[in-house]
Amino acid sequence: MSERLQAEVVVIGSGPSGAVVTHTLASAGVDVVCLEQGDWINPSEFPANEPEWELLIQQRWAHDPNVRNGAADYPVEVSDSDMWPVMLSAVGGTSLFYGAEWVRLLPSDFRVRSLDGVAEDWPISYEELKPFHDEVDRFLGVSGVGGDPAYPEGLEYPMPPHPLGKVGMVAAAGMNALGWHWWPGANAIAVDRHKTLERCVRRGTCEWGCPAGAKASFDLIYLPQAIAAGARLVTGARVSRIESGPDGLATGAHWIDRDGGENFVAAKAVVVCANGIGTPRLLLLSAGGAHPDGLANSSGLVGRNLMLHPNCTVTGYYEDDLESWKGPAGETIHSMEFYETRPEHDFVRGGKMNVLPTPGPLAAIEAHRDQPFEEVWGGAFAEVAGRHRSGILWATNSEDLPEETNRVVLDPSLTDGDGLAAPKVEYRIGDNTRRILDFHVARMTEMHEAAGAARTIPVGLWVDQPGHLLGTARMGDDPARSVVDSFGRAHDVPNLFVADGSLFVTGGAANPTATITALALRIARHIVATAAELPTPSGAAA
Amino acid sequence: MNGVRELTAAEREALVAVADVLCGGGALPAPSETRGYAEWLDRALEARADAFDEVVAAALSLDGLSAAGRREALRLMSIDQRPRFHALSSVVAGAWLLVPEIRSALGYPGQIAAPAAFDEAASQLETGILDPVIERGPIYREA
Ligand SMILES: Cc1cc2nc3c(=O)[nH]c(=O)nc-3n(C[C@H](O)[C@H](O)[C@H](O)COP(=O)(O)OP(=O)(O)OC[C@H]3O[C@@H](n4cnc5c(N)ncnc54)[C@H](O)[C@@H]3O)c2cc1C
Ligand code: SF4
Repeated sequence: MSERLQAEVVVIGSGPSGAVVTHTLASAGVDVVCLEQGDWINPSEFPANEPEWELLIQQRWAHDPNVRNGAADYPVEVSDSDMWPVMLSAVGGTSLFYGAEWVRLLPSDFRVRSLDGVAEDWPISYEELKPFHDEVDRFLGVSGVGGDPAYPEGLEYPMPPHPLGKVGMVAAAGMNALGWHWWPGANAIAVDRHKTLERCVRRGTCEWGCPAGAKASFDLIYLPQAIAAGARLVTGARVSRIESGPDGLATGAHWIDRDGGENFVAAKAVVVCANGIGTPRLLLLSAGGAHPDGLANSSGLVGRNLMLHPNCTVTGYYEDDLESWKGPAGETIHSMEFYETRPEHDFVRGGKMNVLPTPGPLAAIEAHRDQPFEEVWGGAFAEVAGRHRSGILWATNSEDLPEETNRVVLDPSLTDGDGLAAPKVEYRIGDNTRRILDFHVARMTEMHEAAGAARTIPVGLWVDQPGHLLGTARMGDDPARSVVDSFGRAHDVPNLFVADGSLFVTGGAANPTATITALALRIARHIVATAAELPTPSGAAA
Repeated sequence: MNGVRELTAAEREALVAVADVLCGGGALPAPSETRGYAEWLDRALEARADAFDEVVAAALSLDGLSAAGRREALRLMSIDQRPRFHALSSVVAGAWLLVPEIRSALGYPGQIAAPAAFDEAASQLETGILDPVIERGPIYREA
């Protein structure tokens, strides 16, 4: 059935960014409709409720939409990419899968051009963003220990930390032996009941859905409050195009429902929160009229400068039982020791390292797959599987610098279930990033050795882990060098906003969602504050 | 649940024979000697319904080989046909790891609720483990 709705603002996507925008607008009395192509997923459906969860996450609950192939997903063409972006289409978006590591960028991240002579500075500073971070943290009940010396004074958390556990204590002792920075993890995981979140009971499967409802996935927090404040959420609604009128202003969004019906919501403003792949895809799908190369794309930068934070890991196995099946996961501890440019390095910028537990015996087997056959299978198998209790995973997000050739385009032949062009990702890992990865594999191996690991297994690149989708509609003051301004407003289309990871000018190396949501809050507040000045689109199409 | 068809006796036998090569030979009973393995194998196949045909065909392709021949064929498959070996080994070995007796022998309680004691985090930090980091002082770069 075809529906025609009217709203003041339409938000596209209900992940962390869309949820924060929707809530902020609705709470301010704005009439807002949020369109989400996915559905609600109840925590009772998550794989961790079943003993065979380790098999269920291989396909049905895989992070990679190309493997999962769910009804709400769209495929991503990756044959010209070194890595495969992963995400989830659901109410709450990819946050149902995220680890909820809640880490802010550092002050230097906003000034990379000035400090290190590479990439570009952001149009805002750490200090400008900080109050928005603090507000989101309070809303979510982020857990951590204040006073991390890797940050300027004033970084405090509203909830106490999770235990370090045996895993964290052993890893931290190794860092102390080396004299390197570490700090207890900061996680958007409730240590105690908080608003609509339950208490974490350390089930350890945070990255495949929290069965306890303790992790701050945005279907459980922000969206419920947004709906209570009057926001309308439409699920199973795949936006096919943002419409624009003859004056170039956005007039609303078309969406296709699950029965293939075509619908439209007319609005005075459109906020795109479809993530660093989905947002440029939609802007490119919305070409036409005043925007022949895609909506808001006069700079030609929509889809360009994709950054994915390539990850490397070293898993260490220890003699002692570390209860490595226990969560949260979530970061146990993190280290910013090699985050910054140093004269002695052969690369600029650096990486953010963190510890995770290693839940599950099949995961222990997976970690050993590249070892010689006889060391994993047959007589060795039970012993290797048994290592699940004594594992520590050190992982690094590396800072990949923006490159215009790393980009999202529309694939000429691949389509989603509704016949819309799928995004094609063209992404190559740069030399600087490769050096950061190699360096961190060597350091993480040393860290395990210092902590007493019996054996270590390095993975130089985690090809299917990039859930950090950044840079493809970046902010800036210069319309020729950026897609949107520092409030997410498109330079070309003053009533169109972007509020997700596409905004990032550089990627930093911190997990991005804390920054994404702080930016989203700042943008939503700006929309509320300037609502009276929004231009009125002439000639609403469709 | 997607639902997969029942295995024939020959298919089941072939899968268990693969499982014995991949998981047997250590201190624990091999899958063919582990009570309940057959039921957990069904459950594992169901969890990887997408790979059912591939897994069964891969196991049947090793039919008629001696145990040593099967082992060598699996070793070669792990090198030359990685996706196929991944699916086959995940299902047959994953099934064995689901058997309660095996899980308890491996010290795996499952992803159970294990709420932290209220003072656990604080008492770990009170050991002074964070002191060297604090003593070193700020490390952030002025911007
Ligand atoms: C395994 C994994 C672990 C992660 N761990 C962490 C972590 O520990 N810490 C951290 O900071 N980050 C982590 N991330 C990243 C984090 O999930 C993302 O940064 C975050 O979800 C981004 O929020 P978003 O709202 O911008 O996008 P998303 O959460 O991806 O939400 C976008 C939403 O838009 C919808 N959408 C897209 N296109 C359309 C369309 N055309 N019509 C309608 N709806 C549409 C999608 O269905 C989706 O629900 C992880 C990611 C993964 C995959
Ligand atoms: S560790 Fe906590 S947050 Fe993670 S899945 Fe378990 S209960 Fe949920």
